[in-house]
Amino acid sequence: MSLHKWTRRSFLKTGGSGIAGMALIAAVPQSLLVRLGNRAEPVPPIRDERIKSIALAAVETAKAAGADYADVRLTHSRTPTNFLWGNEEITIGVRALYGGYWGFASSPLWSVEEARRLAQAATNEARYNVSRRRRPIELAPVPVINDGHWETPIEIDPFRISSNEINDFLRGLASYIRNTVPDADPMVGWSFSSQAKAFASTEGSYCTQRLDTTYVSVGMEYKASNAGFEFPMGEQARAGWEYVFSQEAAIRSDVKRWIEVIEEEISLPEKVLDPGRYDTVFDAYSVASFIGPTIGIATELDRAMGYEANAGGTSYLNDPLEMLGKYQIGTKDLTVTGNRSTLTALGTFKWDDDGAEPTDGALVKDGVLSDYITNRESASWIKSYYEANNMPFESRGSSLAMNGLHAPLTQIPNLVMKPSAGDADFDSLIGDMEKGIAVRFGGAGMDFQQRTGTGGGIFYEVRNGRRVARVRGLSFLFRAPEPWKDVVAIGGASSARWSARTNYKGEPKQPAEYSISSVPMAVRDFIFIDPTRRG
Amino acid sequence: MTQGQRRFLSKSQTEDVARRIIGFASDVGETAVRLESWESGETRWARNFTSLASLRSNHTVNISRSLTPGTASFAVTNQLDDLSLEAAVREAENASLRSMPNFRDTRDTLVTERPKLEGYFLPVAWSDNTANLHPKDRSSVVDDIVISAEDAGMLSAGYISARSGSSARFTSRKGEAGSEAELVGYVTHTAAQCSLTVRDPEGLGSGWAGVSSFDWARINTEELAQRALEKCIASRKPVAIEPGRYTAILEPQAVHELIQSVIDWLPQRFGAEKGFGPFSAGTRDRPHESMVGTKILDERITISYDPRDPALATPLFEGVKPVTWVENGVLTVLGYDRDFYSIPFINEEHSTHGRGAYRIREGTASIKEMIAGTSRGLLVTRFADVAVIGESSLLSTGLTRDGLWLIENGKISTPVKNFRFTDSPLFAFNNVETIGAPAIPVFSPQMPAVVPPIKVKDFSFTSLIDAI
Repeated sequence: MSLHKWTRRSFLKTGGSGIAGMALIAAVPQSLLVRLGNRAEPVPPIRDERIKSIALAAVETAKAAGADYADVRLTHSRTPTNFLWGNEEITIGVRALYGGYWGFASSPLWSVEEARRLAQAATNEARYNVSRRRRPIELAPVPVINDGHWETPIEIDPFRISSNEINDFLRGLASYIRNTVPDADPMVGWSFSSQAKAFASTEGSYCTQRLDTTYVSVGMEYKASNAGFEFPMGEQARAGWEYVFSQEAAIRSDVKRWIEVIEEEISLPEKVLDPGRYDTVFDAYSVASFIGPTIGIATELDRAMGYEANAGGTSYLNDPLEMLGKYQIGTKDLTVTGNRSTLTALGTFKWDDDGAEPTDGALVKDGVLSDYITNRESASWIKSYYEANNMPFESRGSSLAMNGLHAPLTQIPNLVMKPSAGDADFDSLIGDMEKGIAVRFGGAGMDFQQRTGTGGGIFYEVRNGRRVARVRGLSFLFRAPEPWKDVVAIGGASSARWSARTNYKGEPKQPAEYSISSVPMAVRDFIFIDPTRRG
Repeated sequence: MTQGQRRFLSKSQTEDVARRIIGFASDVGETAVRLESWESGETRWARNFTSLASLRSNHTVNISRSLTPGTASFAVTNQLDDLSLEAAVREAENASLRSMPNFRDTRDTLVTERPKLEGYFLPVAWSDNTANLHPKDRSSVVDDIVISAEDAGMLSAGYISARSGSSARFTSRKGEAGSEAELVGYVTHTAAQCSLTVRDPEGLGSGWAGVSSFDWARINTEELAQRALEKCIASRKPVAIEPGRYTAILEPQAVHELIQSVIDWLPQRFGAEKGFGPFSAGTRDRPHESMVGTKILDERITISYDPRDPALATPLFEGVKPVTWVENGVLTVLGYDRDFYSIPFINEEHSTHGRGAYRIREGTASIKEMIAGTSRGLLVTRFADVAVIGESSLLSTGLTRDGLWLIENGKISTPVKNFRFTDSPLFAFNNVETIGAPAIPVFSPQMPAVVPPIKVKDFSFTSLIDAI
């Protein structure tokens, strides 16, 4: 995994006695209590049969109430951090389909009685909408899951080790930073999240999952030449604490790499360039900021069809059946795959919140739009495309709710950009450039159709294959999908980096984390503007 | 349904929870408890069909433990049984031990020396109309909204929510028998909203309308549906015009979204006196000056808050006085936030004053009259994704959305493609040509606002965007 940009508030500053002053304490919060039987008890493991009983009570009640289909999710979420607070909650949400309409009901109580109450309420919510007319709906078929269970493969459960051990480790890294860069002010932080969830449906599926995410951020603030620099070196992965150990060497080398960046920053003169078009090289992090909105968000089928029109917006890929298999998004070198199988990536799970097992597949293949991100309902909207192309009619498995309190939405999977066959990287792409701009840590903000984007980053003027100046006062501006059509070179596999991203959508808004694997790329005639210019 | 039957916590229930929490805390330090409890009915629709109708409820118990003065750590749970609450208390204490020293709680819950503000007005933000909105009512409303769009061959998408709940705050107080829960405040509240977007099926036009209020009866869904539809139809097939400076007639929603950054800084006198934000006048010689008393906006702009104004109803734990933040363009007062840093400064003149609810005094001209008086300009429905890019100037960037029209010779001549803008509310609202009327409640689910349309000169639209 690679760098994840952390805000300053994400960090615990350790310049003083921050971690050193801590007492011996356990990081593991005690579990919440639930009343599954006659008495309150700690929340049991998600595979406990009594949890299944609650889930089955919900779907059976919904079915008895007349629901054509129903499912239920029970979630137990824990999120301790070093930053002052711990959060733990249990939720249950029942979703019912009646006459083509979805109803949903949720609460914080786990019990058979509550599950039945919610199932009835969800069915009623759906039923009240049928009065006007039936809404045609088709759910893509899914295999029945028989008591399936899946867990994020972790070796060291972060909830089972002392925070003292965690803090010792981070204190060591902080000391390393201070010893390596005496003027640096190290910043470290950590948090873990774990969500156990159970799913049952009226189709007979029952499965449980435990999804763990480890966050560790290590950074430093470095003051030189009256300028402050903050650099992130951190990881965010669907993994256990062992992942942090495995990254120690990389983090330590990152410190040295950042020193090189700082030295380069200091040594280069600052320069103001005129707004205009420049050949541009973007690092992998910047490329990820283009992939997320212009390919990830834009291919959410619900969004493309107008289901988010009143919230985050729509998509420039707004005519799916006309565009699929035909619409040229980029050059033939561009292939981006939706992926829920890379074990450490944040969008990875075994079953989505429709009970569908995701299938990895290209969203853009050889530059052409080849699929959308779907759930069981929306897959039917492009069924004719699947049938015409001998593709299985199935959900891409991207139905996800942040917890049982919320109804599932279609959310972005991990996105993987196919590297080129060669070994080009950021520096070699710059080396091939006679004149232009190089961008590090670029970030793009998009309009509400993921069409027009603007953004910034660390900009360098490039002359004869070398970075010769830092460029101040410019932002880039682009119109999707033009950047992908103007790509002249992309990096090789060795230059691929993973980035963490969060997508917000829906009413009310729900976040979903995912990861992007991207490579650097060179683009011709990219537009740069003065962002502070008033017309 | 009466309040007693609702799925949020009553006052006595919150007192019981707080008493148990404070009983579980060790005698060392202070304990603060925040309880939020709510139920919410929601309906979402798209493409002229309801896509989801939901009924949700939850509790949030936020426990803060301060084991040593000046530090505090939190634990959050949504369970109310003894053992879960005790576990959360222990977790808060553990978090406190692993937190950094010198962190100061910036929330109001640990403020035990708060002044008692007598004679102030406590706003009421409860409506039975909202709390009693039945799922059938939501369904019926959506049916009516959708039909108007469908009959016109358009696609409607939108969202209705009606939420009711309670909030309570407690702190620990030392009594003879140990710590007891002291009620800081308990308040019940409702919140309703309706917003919708009507789009041309071919994606050629888009119109939006929305409003929020504590009282569902104050939301005219029929009018919203009609407004969004009319905007959609009128916005179809926009043409591209050159970016640049235009006279802009900002409808109330656009004014609200642009001026929000100004409103956000009004309760931050402490920051201003420390040299932060747009209202700091600090210099090397006089570092603790704010801009109170300085003209910051056009002299026709007056921004106020009155807790007795039902259109600005927002739940507060204690009464506040009416305040005029900006009078005839002059910044008359800045509020102190009720946080740890500011507590020595809090007095009757410097409380938070409604925490962001505001009204801008209306003028006299209608939007139609403002259009008639414009030789060339733009009519803006609303802005989206507004972000401040300069803290001291409040220079902001954002997008126009869901209806933008060119005005020529006193008439709307054509819909135009959306723009990105780069401008500051401090520039724009110092360059006012007309304050319009009426001032109306806008869509602002977090804090209510009543805002008139305003016509500004030389507003800076910096680049075209293709999104519709």
